[in-house]
Amino acid sequence: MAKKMALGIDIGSVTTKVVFVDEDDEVLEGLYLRTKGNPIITIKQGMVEAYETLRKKYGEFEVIAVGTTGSGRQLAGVVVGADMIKNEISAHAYAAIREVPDVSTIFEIGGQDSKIIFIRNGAVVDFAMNTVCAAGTGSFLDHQAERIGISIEDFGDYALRSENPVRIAGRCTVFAESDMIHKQQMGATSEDIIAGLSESLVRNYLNNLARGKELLPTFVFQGGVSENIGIVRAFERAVGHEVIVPKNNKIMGAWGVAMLAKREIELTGRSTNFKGFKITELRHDTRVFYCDGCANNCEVYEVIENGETIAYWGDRCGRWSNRLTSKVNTHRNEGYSSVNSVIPANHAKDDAR
Amino acid sequence: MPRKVTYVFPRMGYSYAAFESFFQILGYDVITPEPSNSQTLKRGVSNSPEGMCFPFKILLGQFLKVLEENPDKYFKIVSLESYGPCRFGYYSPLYAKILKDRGFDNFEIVNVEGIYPPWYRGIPRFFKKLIKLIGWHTPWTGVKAFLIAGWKVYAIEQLERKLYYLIPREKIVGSAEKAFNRAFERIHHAPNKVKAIKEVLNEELKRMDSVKHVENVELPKVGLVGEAYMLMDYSNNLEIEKKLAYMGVDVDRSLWVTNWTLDRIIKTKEHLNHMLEVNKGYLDFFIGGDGQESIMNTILYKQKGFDGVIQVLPFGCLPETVAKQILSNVSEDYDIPVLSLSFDEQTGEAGFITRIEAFVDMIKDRKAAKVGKKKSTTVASQ
Ligand code: SF4
Ligand code: SF4
Repeated sequence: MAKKMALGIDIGSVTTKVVFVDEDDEVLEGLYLRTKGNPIITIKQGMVEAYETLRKKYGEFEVIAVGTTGSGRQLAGVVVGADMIKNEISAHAYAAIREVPDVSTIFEIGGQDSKIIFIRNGAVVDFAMNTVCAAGTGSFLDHQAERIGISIEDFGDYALRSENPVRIAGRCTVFAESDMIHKQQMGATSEDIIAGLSESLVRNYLNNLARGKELLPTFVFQGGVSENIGIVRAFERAVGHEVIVPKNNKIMGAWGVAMLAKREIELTGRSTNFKGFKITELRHDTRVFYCDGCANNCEVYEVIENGETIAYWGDRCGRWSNRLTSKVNTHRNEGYSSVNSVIPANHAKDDAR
Repeated sequence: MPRKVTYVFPRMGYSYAAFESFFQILGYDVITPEPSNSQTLKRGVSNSPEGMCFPFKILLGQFLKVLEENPDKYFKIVSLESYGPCRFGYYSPLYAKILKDRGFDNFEIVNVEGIYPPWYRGIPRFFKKLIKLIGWHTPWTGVKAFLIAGWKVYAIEQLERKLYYLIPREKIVGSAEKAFNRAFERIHHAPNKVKAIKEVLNEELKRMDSVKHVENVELPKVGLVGEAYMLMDYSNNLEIEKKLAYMGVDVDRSLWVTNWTLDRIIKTKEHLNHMLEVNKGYLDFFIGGDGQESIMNTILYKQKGFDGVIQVLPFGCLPETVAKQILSNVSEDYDIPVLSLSFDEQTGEAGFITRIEAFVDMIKDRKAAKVGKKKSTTVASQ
């Protein structure tokens, strides 16, 4: 029998993650890719690559559920045919709780944004997200690594070797960078600078996102930057406690949404919207335009598949999206599906009484 | 001969329909500014002092666009005003100055304000401003304008409440909104007679009720608090109510034109006393704007069994920034999740949706967990 799998895709502006999980939610294949300019091409590359590996390992397989998350979740959802389009906070939290059931605080730092999620008794109770400031993110570290002339993979080891991390001032990237150059000119070693940078990143992160909030163990640190052992240690020093980097740390969002999609399909008994691997051979274009239908002047997004429009969103009145009768999850349908999921849940409660 | 005057007023949510009628009854021309869009925002932001709060910039942009597009008309720009302590006190003079500096002279700014103590000075002042605002009319025309505008505001609010009730319950996505749009336009253009408005309202409410939907579902409840203008204007709060409703939430906004007017202008004393009582231990003095209200309403929402509160915070708003800090204590003490969302011209739709979605997921989970505990039955487990 063909093996059953669920697919999860997490598209951020810097990286894209593609994950396949089996029926027990274990990751069979997880890819971490750079989103090079065109997110759709990146997804397709990821899918093709994963498909080939999975075919070799397991022979025939069947995709029973698809979920997308990340800032490009809607686009990805439309292109592949998703059953669930979920925000990154819920997806990340779900995966972290699955992996570390007694987690209380999740630090997540990705390529372009960072978040903190507070969990009590296995449920999200609070969160904060930083999407504006790059100071505490992977892009910033990449940039600095390049400037110092070492590869980002070695960054962590450098930090660990440092004996006196220099203190790098900086609420923001611009200041941090100039301060760093200054310290370099003063003769600080690369090790000490990198360690200082790691601490400054963690300090910024906590200042921005955790201000006034109670930080309780168990701590989990995930996202691309959690690969960096120097930052992990800096977090541990800052919170005075062990910080767990879970397995699958770089692909938690995609993993989480794959599991959520699978659960959704199991709960509702629907069959998947997945359009199949054939989509990797289709041509997709996107277009953004301002509608001049009325004074709202909406910024409308259009997704075109082989010359045919498959989705619109951003139009407040539905002037564009109502033209399509496809079942794909546009924003509106997304709302609808959550309404749907509330009603069955209520019926379930009635039955239980 | 005096030039013919055209009125322009701050556009806020759907209430503009009522304000249009108000000036029409008084016999004036009126132009409603466009809802906030990239063009009005660009104008507003680039012509305002950077430190001004966001609503000021929004409205400046709206006024500028109207003035630019109608160089041959003479405008009375209506602006609300208070004597502070937040920036609200500077709105009118600052508008006048900026617009003059931009080379416009075909306008004057008229403002309305509440009656401030001491009453023997407040009342004459109020009437003086009122006359400057609406000009001399027979008392009956004046009364009628207020009456009809009041009725229209009320009618529109009824329709809006119905809309937000129906959206999460409708069977066909978008059907409630369609019915609402029609109903709104009918009220907007209803004849200026109380009886006619009442009739249209009843008819349309019935029609909206006939939108296919499910009754008797218990949905998570979210209350909205925050600065009045941002809260009441859908084009600036990125339609937060509609978005929440489409996510399957029962959404309730704490400020409406009707209760705002009632509390702030008509029953000021009772309102203030009530607020002091509820806010005891958190904030017991006026900080301007709607900061005190935000705190009070969060507490009241908790008492009414709501599952979460979202605070709408315009960037640069002092009262709401103060309230935000206090709200994090309220949230903890009263065990109610509060999400503060800050809005400015750079607020991206994407990050905004991510936050409210995650918030809704969170309160749904909390609710499920509570129901599970109380009834000790298993709710569809994770
Ligand atoms: S999409 Fe609809 S609401 Fe938006 S500008 Fe066009 S007509 Fe107006
Ligand atoms: S309440 Fe806030 S937004 Fe309104 S005028 Fe005062 S400072 Fe500005």
